[in-house]
Order: sequence, then structure tokens, then C-alpha cells
Amino acid sequence: MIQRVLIPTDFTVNSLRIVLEYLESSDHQQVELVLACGYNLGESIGMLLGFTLDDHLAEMQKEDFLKGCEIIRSRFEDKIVEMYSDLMISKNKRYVRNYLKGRQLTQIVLPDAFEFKYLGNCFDIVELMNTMEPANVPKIVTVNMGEEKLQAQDTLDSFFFRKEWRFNYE
Amino acid sequence: MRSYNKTLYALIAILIIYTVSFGAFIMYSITNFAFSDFYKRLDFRRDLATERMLNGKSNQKDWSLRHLEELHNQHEFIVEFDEKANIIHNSGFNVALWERVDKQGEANFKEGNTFYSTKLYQQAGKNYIVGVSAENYFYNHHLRYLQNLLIIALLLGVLFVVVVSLLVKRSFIKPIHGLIDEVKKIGSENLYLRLSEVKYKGVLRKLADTFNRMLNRVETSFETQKNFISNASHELNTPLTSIIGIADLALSKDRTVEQYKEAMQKIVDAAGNLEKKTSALLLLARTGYERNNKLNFKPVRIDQIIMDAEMTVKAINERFHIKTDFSMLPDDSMKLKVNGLAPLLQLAISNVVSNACKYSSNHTAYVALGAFENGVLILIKDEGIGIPEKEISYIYDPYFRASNTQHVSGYGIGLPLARNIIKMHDGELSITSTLGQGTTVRIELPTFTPI
Repeated sequence: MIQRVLIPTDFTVNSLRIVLEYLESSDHQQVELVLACGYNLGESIGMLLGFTLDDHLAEMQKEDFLKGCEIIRSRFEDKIVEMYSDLMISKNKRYVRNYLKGRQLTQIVLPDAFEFKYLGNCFDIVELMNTMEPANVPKIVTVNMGEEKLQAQDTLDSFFFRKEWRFNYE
Repeated sequence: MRSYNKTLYALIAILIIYTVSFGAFIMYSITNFAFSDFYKRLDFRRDLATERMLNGKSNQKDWSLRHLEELHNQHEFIVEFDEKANIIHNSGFNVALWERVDKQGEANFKEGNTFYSTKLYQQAGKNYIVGVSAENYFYNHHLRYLQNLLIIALLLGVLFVVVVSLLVKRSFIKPIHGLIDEVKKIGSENLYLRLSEVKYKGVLRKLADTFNRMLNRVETSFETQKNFISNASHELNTPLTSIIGIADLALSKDRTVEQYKEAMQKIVDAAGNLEKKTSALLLLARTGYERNNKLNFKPVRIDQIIMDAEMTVKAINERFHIKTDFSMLPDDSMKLKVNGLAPLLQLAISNVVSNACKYSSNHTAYVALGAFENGVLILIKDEGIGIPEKEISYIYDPYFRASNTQHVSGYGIGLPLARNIIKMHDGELSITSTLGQGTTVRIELPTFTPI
């Protein structure tokens, strides 16, 4: 069975390390990855009616982030069935519960320590997940993010030379 | 631009001719209809008048007028004439028009604004012409009004078309003029300049993009040709120095046969390296002379090239260390194939890697490789002296050396050469650096796509 996994992101390349750590630590099960970020729509009727996910994602996902996603997909081609971004548009607990239930998510991946850099209207969904009642949340998987010094690095370098890199032909 | 104006004027003229013809056709059709319809009405009234005048039904006038409205300025007339067409008796007919009357049958004609309908009748051996004349109110008023309307509409339409055409022409030509001005600024001394694509839309943006791509190729070609001697000297210098050094060392004192063999082997290796570089340089020299300005590119495995480049760098200096991270290699090895020339790519990567080793106190370069959807990513980083922020924009200029590299020998040729080679392969080379912390070179090359 394909696992549908929610992974929090702030659309920085650095946040994709959570995906990498998860994929490297998980078993050989096939997964569908949903990279989710909290996005506060506000109270204007214009935003509520004119909100289109694709437009917002196109604005938030920078070129390097998309390239990072492609690198991960290429690397774990046998594991990743699908990988896409999504926005959670409210902190309302009922909405979050319905969001998780409606998308039939089977796992939520949370980093043990990670400093997200949210833009403008974005909010932290890790904190939100932690405040939810366990009965309303799918299985939570915590990943160990390792080195502290890489926290601030937001380039594609952060994908490499992690944990004393495993492959070396020297 | 003149031909552009000509086309525009021709289009305006065609549009005007079409509109005038259209208006004329409408006028002609409606006038024709108005004439034939009015003559029919006159004919009918003439027949009624004949019945009344010749058949003695004079009291029918009131009856006929009850059912038929009287036309504007309607007059009935009867003319009696002999066989030689001489008028014997005339009742209300303008004799000046007698010539236009058909004495043998029916006739319809128009004089000024008055329309006439006449017909020959014979009764008791006498010839009569009975007729009715009236003014066509529809023709005189409504059609005149329509005619004026059409003329005004035509004039306004022409004015509108001319104004809009000129505005459109200006909006078309203005960005083209902008493009021309930008292109004029680019010369052999500033081939690095590019057209700003964001200023244009649609086809012009594509044109600017195509022009920029062409400039990339021209710049790469131009620089490669211009700096060929420097590149050749730079690339050949290291293996030659190595050969001379080994030979000098071997000859400095008497040695055993084994030691001589070892020295000779090193010289052979260095000579082999020299040969590789010579062939790469020959390929480089051919840039710009091949068909479509493309060298004979073939699909090559980029991971293999990186490993070969590492061996080349290590052969140059044994103190150099290269640490490789291939943990992000894709599952599908096809994604590692790029379209290019292996010797040139190896030359570029070995230059960047040797620079990373050369400018680091630990002489270590960290090389990583990954693949995205349509390309490969090569990262070469070091923990060396870095590049001052102000100087980073000049590092691609040949012979430029950063101000903090005084204690390291070099010519400032390796990086521009590597960048040109990557550009020849439709790739990108970019550098980020922090002074005192290190430099990262990011190379992106498009993946080979079989046609």
C-alpha cells in the first residue's frame, strides 16, 4: 500500500532536508509526499473567493526549491510515487482534522529540531500538529535532523555533504 | 521600417477601399430598390388614372384615394397625339419631356426629383399617352439622409482606422526600436551585455531570448578564440613543469634502474596527460568553425567525467584531496548523461576542482553530483580563502585574480576557460563565496535527450 505522507515545508531548499532525512530513514515502502505549508488567507472576501492554489504555489516555490524536489525525486525514483506541494489555509482544528482526513494522509513527518523561515502569511503547521488530539492525527514520524550548522543554509549545497557523506571514491 | 510603413499604408488603403465599396454597394442597392418600387407604385396609379379618364370611371378617384395614399406632388396627365407624334391635346404634361415618352408602349423616366410613368392607349382610333408623375419622398429624403450618414460614418471610420493604425504601429515599432538601440550598444568590447528580456512580451521576448542565446555562443566562441594562446599555455604548463621536474630530479644524481624506470613512468603519465590536454585544446580551437557552431557532441556520463577529472587533478599535485558525495545520484543512470565532449568537460571540471584545492589550506575539494528533471547539478566547494565580495563580478574576466591570491601562483585563466566550456555545453556556471570561509562553484548542464 502506498503511504501518503505529509511533510511540513516553508518552501526553502533547506526544508527539503526533512524530506531527505525521512526518505533515507524510511523502509522501502512507496510513498506519496505532500509538502504542506500553513497559509493564512485572511478575512477578505476577495482572497476567499479569488484564492487559487496553483497561483500561490507558483509564487512561493522558487526555482531552487523545485530543482531540489526534482533531485529528490530522481534520487528516490523507486520510492516516490508522487510529490507535490499543498497549503493548509486555516489553523482551525476542525479544518485541520478534515484536511488530514479528506486527503487520507497516513503519516505526518515532523523534524526533531528545525527552524522554519516562513514568509508573510505562512504559519507553522508543526506546532499545529503537536496541539492536535492524537486521535485526530495520523501516525507521526519524527526525523532526526542532525547537524545544527546546516540549519541556516538555504542552497542546494544543503543536500550534500550531510552526516559525513556516505559515498566517497577517494 | 519603410517596408513596414508601406505594408501599413497598403492595409489602411485596402480597408478604406473596402469600406467605400461597401457603402457604395449599399447605396446602389437601396436606390435601385427605391426606383423600381416607386415606378411600380406609379404604374399602378397610372392604370387607375387610365380607367378613370378613358373608361369613364371618373367617380372612382375618391374610391382609389381611400385605399391608396396620394404621392408627394402627384399629377396625372393625358396627351392625345396623331400618328406623326404631334400633340393634338395636352392635359397637364410638360411638353419638353415629350421626346422621352415611348409612343409605342410604356415608359418610366425621371426628371429632376420627379418620376414619370407613361403608357400608350388607343381608343376609337385615337392615340393617348396617359401618365402619372410624382416626387419620390423616400428617395429625396430618406436616401439622402442615408447617403449623408454613410459618408459621415465612412469619414469617421477612416479617421478611426488611421489613428488606431498609427497607434498600433507606434506600439509595435517602439519596442523594436528599443531592441535595436540595445543591440547597437553591443560590440566586440562588451559582448557580455545582454538584451533585457523582461522589457518585451510575446514574439519580441522570444527574439530577445534568441538573440541572447546567440550572444552567449558568440561570446563563448570569441573569448575562446581570443584567449586560446593563454588557455593553451595555461593547460600545457602544468604537465610540462611536471615532466621537467621529474626529469631534472632523475638526472640530479646517479640512480638505480628501478628509480629511472619509476621516473620514466611518471614522465609517460605526465606526457599522457599532456596529450589529453592537447586534444582537448584542439577541440576548443575548433569552436565556432563547426557546422551550426556546435562541436561533435556525444552523450557522456557526467559521473565518469568527474571521476576522471579527479584523477587528473590528483596527478597534477599529490597533495590535493578530493572528497566526493555521490549520495544523491539518481536511480536512473540516463539522467547522468549529458550531451558534450568528454575531454572539454573534464578540462573544465578539473580546472575548477584544482582551483578549489589550490586555494584551500587543507588542499581539499568537495565534489557533489545530483540530477534534476532536465539536467545535472555539480557542486564543487572548498573551505579555502574565498573571494572578496566586491571582486566576485570580475572573476570570469581572463587574467583577473582576486586581491587575496597573491601567495598562490596562477594566471586567472582556468575559471574563465571552465565557464566558457560549460557555456558551450548550454550549461551554467555560477559561484558563491564567503571571504575566509570558502567558495562553492555550481555547474548545471542539460541532460542528453535522445531525438
